[in-house]
Amino acid sequence: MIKHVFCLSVMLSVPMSVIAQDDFRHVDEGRPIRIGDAYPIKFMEWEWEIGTSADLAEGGNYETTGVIEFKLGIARNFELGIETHSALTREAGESRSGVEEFATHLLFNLNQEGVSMPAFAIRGDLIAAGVGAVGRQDPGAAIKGIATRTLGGWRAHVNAGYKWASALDDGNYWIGGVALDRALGLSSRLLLGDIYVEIPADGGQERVWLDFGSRLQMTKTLVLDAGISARLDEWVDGNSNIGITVGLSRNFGFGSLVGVPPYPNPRIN
Amino acid sequence: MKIYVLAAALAVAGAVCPIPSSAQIVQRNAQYWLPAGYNNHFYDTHPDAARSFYAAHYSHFGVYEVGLTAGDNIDEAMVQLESDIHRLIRRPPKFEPPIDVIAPHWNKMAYPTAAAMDWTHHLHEQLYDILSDDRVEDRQTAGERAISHYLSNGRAAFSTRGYGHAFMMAGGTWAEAFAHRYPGINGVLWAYHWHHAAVYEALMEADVGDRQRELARVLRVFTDSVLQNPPSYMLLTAQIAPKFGAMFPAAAHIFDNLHMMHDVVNDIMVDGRIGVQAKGWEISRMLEQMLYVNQEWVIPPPLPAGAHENMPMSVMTVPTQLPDGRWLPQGHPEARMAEMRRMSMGGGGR
Repeated sequence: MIKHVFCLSVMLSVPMSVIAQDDFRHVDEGRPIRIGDAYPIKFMEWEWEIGTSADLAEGGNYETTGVIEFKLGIARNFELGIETHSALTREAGESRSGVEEFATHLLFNLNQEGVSMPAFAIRGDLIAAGVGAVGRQDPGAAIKGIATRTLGGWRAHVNAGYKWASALDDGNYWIGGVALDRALGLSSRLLLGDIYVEIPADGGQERVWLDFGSRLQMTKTLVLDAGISARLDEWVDGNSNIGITVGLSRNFGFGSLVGVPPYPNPRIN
Repeated sequence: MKIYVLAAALAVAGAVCPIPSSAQIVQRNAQYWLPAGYNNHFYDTHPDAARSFYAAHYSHFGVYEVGLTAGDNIDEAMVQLESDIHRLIRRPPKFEPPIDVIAPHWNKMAYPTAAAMDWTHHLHEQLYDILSDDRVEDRQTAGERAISHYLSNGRAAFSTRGYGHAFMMAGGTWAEAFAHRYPGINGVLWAYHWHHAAVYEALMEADVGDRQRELARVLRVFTDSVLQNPPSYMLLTAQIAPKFGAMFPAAAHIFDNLHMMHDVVNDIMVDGRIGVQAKGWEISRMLEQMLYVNQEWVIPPPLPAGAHENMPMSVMTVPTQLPDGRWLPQGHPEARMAEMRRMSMGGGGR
């Protein structure tokens, strides 16, 4: 345990790289909304994200989750991420906890947005079984397409895909959603919101979330996010499951991993 | 319900994602900056000086966005922009705003140029960091490593050759359109070119106290004098920062070429004779002329006769190799003078 804490503290304190004032513009899944944008992190850029959320339901039921994620720009336009989700739930008077899942993803950005062409990306996820009472029972996988389009001061993001899960983990389902974001002037703050839907492939009840939140550039490399969500399909007589989420993300790099060519003494005349 | 949700999602996707044209496919290719312990040191230790640059950043990309979107109201929009710029000079934002926030339309039209400018701004900042951080034992080596990393991103790195004023004065029929039409904003931008170089020269002081004093003086002179009476031509880095220019001659030229590209885009964006699509093509054409990866075959255009008449003699010094092998960049006061014939044949230093 001490070793893990030490490793984490080393990761969090490595020299940060320069200026990344566009980090608040990154729309990362779960930070704080469910929809992501089509842009990966930069080649040779690293980023950690930590977050926690609490979903409150009627009858004193709740679920709190924590997420830790590391991302790396493994090549130009490619992002690799690993993450773990842990949870503590209380339902019908019974508390349960554990690691929900371990997951890894690969995101490939096909293009930069042009005058009439949005940015497109493909993201694939592999999910391992969890640990403990709330953990996934079986491995799963997901694939989705992502589009990002700038509309004046607004940006729209569309996600659509499919997630494979065993019957023990509620089965396969379609995923999709739309998000909008807008930077607030030059304040390095982003407002964003989405509507996100999961449709069971076997014809079960759809699950629908509405999320709203903000991302704020705290320092040149650190972003704070916070959001609120509502589970619309459980909205009955004004009672809904309400969730809040808070997180931090920070980018960094390792100079020793960057292959800088010798100074070419370039021609200046 | 399921069908309605899917139909709605497809409708939104269709509205947001029109059918792409293959000519518009541009790869993002974003690359991270060289990680190093000195990064952000200038911002952390001299926040006022670091933030003083942000109005320039806003000015450049604000001009491009107005030029693209204002249409017949461009003159009124430029007046408003100039007012915003002066407000930001007095109260700069905490962080440098992303280009796509300032100029979302222009960024879509000219992404490779925006990316090259952004990449070069990061080299600007890294050299400020290196020169301001006393933990860096060998500033020359650290700076050259940063430049080497910068040049390794070939499609985003500006040329290290001294093109002087060639492309902005003779690159096309649009040359100098912006300076003539909007001298107020243009003066602010050229004042900032002085500011960028003057800060480098202040940071060349070896003693911390001298550095602080010189930096304070530069900020004072910038606001009290240079902004009030902006330069009448685009200054070259080595003119203002001869010590910096002698230490990093390639960087001096990179920044001069960046500044020239900023001016070139200004001109193209406000030239009403050029259609919107042609503006994008022309910017791409000029970027190709000024990239590092293309510098072995590019021949800069000859300057018009008398182009340097209103400039001091130092502008007409060309890259010069010293007996010890070091180089002095174009504009350096100790570099040798160009023959007028060569200046008018193009390239200044060729």
